[in-house]
Amino acid sequence: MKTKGQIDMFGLVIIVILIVMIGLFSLFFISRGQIDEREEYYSYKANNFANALSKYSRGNLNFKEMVLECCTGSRCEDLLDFVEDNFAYVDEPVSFEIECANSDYSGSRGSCSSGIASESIILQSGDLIRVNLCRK
Amino acid sequence: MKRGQLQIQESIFVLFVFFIILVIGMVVFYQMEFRSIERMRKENEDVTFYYLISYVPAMPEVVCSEKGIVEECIDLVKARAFASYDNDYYRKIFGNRKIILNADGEKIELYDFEPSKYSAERIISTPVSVYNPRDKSYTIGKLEVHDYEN
Repeated sequence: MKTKGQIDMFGLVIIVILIVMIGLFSLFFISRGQIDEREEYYSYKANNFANALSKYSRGNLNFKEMVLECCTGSRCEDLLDFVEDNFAYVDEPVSFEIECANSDYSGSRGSCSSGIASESIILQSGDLIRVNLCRK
Repeated sequence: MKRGQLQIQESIFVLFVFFIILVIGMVVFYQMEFRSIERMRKENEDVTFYYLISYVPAMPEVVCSEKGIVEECIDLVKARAFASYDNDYYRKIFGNRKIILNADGEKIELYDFEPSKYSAERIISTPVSVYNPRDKSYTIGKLEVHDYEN
């Protein structure tokens, strides 16, 4: 009887150990987080767009000169229109922001009020531009 | 004797149940391990896919550079030359994908290994600065990476 009881106990212990092991393994695999590489992708995209805008120079159109004209004069609508025309290169909702260094002017254009922001690009004139990209 | 036989049968039954549970446990563990490996493989493929959008514009084959100084843009002339290269060498880097640069109304297929049959297609894109050394102009282009799933 004593021997039988010991065997029964041993069996129960083995079963409990197995169930606990299976439970632990399931917990381990279920609780693993998912890396969202898309965050980096959107950030990279926003930076790229801001960089591409800041470098634009073709014929009579030079982005840096347009920013200078906006911040020292009043031709900001031309600048914002130019930027908006180039929104087509981005598939997601995007917005553009400008802050002039030497005047109080700060403007924006676009449909993304809060999203993933690009790095702020400070031009030689000290004026700042930035792009915001919203997830699709 | 009868009692002894009963005890032996009981022991055999206990052992049998134990091994059944052990086998079930091993099967469940194997299934979960396999699914986990499959998920890791998929995650790794996703990371590689999204990584291409930053890797391609920085490739020496297409990046803007002058006297060894690298700039953050794609050289249009270099891109056109790269598009004419043999795809096979880059297959180990890009796999079953298609990479297109749209600049100035021109569509340049930098790399094309679109399989004849695929179950799904994913596309990611990014705006890029494109430099034309002929007229020294900087315009905006769009780099697209197409990924094909079997």
